[in-house]
Amino acid sequence: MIGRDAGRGRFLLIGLPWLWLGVFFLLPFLVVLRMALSDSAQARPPYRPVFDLSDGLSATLDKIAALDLENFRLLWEEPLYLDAFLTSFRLAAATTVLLILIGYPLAHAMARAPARLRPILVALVILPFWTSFLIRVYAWIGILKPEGLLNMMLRQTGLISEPLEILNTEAAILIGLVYAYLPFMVLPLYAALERLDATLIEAATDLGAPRWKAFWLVTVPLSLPGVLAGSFLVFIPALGEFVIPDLLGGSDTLMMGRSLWVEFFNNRDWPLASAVAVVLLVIVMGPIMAHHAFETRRAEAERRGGRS
Amino acid sequence: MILDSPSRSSRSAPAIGAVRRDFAPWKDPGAVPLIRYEGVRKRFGATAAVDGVDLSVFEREFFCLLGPSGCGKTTLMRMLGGFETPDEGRVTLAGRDLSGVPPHLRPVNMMFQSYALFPHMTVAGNVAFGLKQDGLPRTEIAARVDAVLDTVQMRGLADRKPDALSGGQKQRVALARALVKRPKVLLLDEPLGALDKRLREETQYELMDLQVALGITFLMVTHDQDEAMTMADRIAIMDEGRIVQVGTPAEIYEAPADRGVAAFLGDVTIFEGVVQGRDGEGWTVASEPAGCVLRVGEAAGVAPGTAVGVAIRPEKLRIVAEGDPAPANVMDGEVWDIGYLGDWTIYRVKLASGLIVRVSQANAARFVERPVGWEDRVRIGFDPASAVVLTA
Repeated sequence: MIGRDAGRGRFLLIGLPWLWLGVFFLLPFLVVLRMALSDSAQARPPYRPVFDLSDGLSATLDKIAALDLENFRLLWEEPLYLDAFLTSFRLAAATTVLLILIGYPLAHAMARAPARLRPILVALVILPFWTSFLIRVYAWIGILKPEGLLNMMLRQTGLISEPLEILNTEAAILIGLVYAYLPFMVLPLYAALERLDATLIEAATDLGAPRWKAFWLVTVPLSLPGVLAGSFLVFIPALGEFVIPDLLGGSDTLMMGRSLWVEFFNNRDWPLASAVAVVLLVIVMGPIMAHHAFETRRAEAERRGGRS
Repeated sequence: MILDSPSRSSRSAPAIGAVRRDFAPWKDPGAVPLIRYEGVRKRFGATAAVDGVDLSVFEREFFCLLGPSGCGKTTLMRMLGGFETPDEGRVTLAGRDLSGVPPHLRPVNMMFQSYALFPHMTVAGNVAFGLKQDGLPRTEIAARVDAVLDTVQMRGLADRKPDALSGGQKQRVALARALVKRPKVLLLDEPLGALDKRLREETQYELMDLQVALGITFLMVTHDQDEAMTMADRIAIMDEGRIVQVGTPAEIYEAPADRGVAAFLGDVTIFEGVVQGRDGEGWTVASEPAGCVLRVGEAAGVAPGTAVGVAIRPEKLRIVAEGDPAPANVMDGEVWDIGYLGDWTIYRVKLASGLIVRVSQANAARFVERPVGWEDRVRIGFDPASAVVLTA
């Protein structure tokens, strides 16, 4: 009796997350995927499904075999979309690199601060979340616009005579992305660095390494999982970011998130928008799965105790 | 109770306790210490961690700082590694003032209490780390790593990561990593603290053999008195940032400087009393808790009327069987508790004054004709030379 109850309990425990994933991820994804394979149409909803399970299984399979993947081909052939993707990729990558450069020293200083100060510092990093994201991005418009706060200050100090054109450029998007995603980089880095045993650094200096070398040979490699986690947390949402490029980047900048929005709402081309969404997901899945495989292999190697 | 004085050689003087080796540079007035602490002080906030320490450690010595946690022993040792800087005073190594010398430039290595092995490097990588910092050629590094791993019997596991090692194996790697650079001094911070009892004992003797074989000076910190007694040539007892007594394990055990040291190191019963007068070679002490006048041996700084403590170790007391010749000091009491340990039996005997005295007896024979039982009336006694007279 007890065994069967325990078995059912375990089944529930494992089953619930799977159920959640199935209902809220897999099912919507399949809907979007089917939409991406369909043709646009003047209808409501504005697309004609390519297949329907009510046709029967063999008819559905026939139709799937006959798919033309027209929307995906369009994404590949039309330079507009390729550009949007490359811009997104470039900006997300630049954001990630900048955030590592800014976030690492910040997280390191936080982790080395006196223990009683650390919770306050963490709270300060999280504090911006208490204000609406949208309002904070709007605030950046106020700072970056030609007659904005930044230009005013720079002109008053005499550093420039003409206002800098920052708003509606890629630089503005980059500033906005770096600002918005800073906590997502700092927090995993802080977690990794705070956990790091300070006596390891002492041991390294004791064995003849100057402090900078001890940092490079011990702290950096041991905090790499934190760097990796932070990079994923930043890179993935930055790739599909819509609000920041829309508000700070102006109408010229095309990023994937914006193209998706434009196709969906302005052009009412749901299938093409869905295709963009599917491509975005696949692109993002790649690095995640690579990371996962890497981590699994490392854990396995450590368990076996062999060279990794 | 006669201590070896510096003028006499250790051979001719009646030594107390076990003399491990013919090695006693601290008795040689001409010997120059390798490590010297001079008037060292260190405060952390309002508390003085190290409060005016003068200490000399000689080359090839196995020296131990012993004391309760928070007594400043670790801080004192870390000053030699360069991880703490003294507020006052200075630390010298082989005559060189270490003030301002960063840890990576000091010819000492430390074995950390937590071992502090680099988790992202293999055993061989950990051991090679220090040699790589010195920029040695790769072939020499490999040879020295292999050699030191042979010494600690860890060569077969050179490719393992620290996470895949047992506690005892980690301890060996930490030791190898600290030894491979052939430091002038090896610092050991509670080196055996994380091992279980049996392994600890085994490792103690291995460490001692290794120290003699390598001829490296060891400075060890521990709170475990058995560990200190077993391994060290000399021990410094620390309390509240000060050094209370420095001496060989036998000197400290048999001639403690004060009541604190006597009680900290091993078991002891202290009979408080007042010196009455001379008695042959020694003194007589009237002790109320003992309920009699005790005869004790020679004691310095004592005159009639001095308040003293007569300290006696459990193994130097014995239960006097009926018909046996009685020692000079005898007291009557009642057996209050018996602890049978196998090799020893501990009797807690309550005197008429209420004082409970610990008496231990070696169980030399498997069976005793008439064993002492609970609540038995017994007579306990000791010889005058077995007791220590404490004035502090």
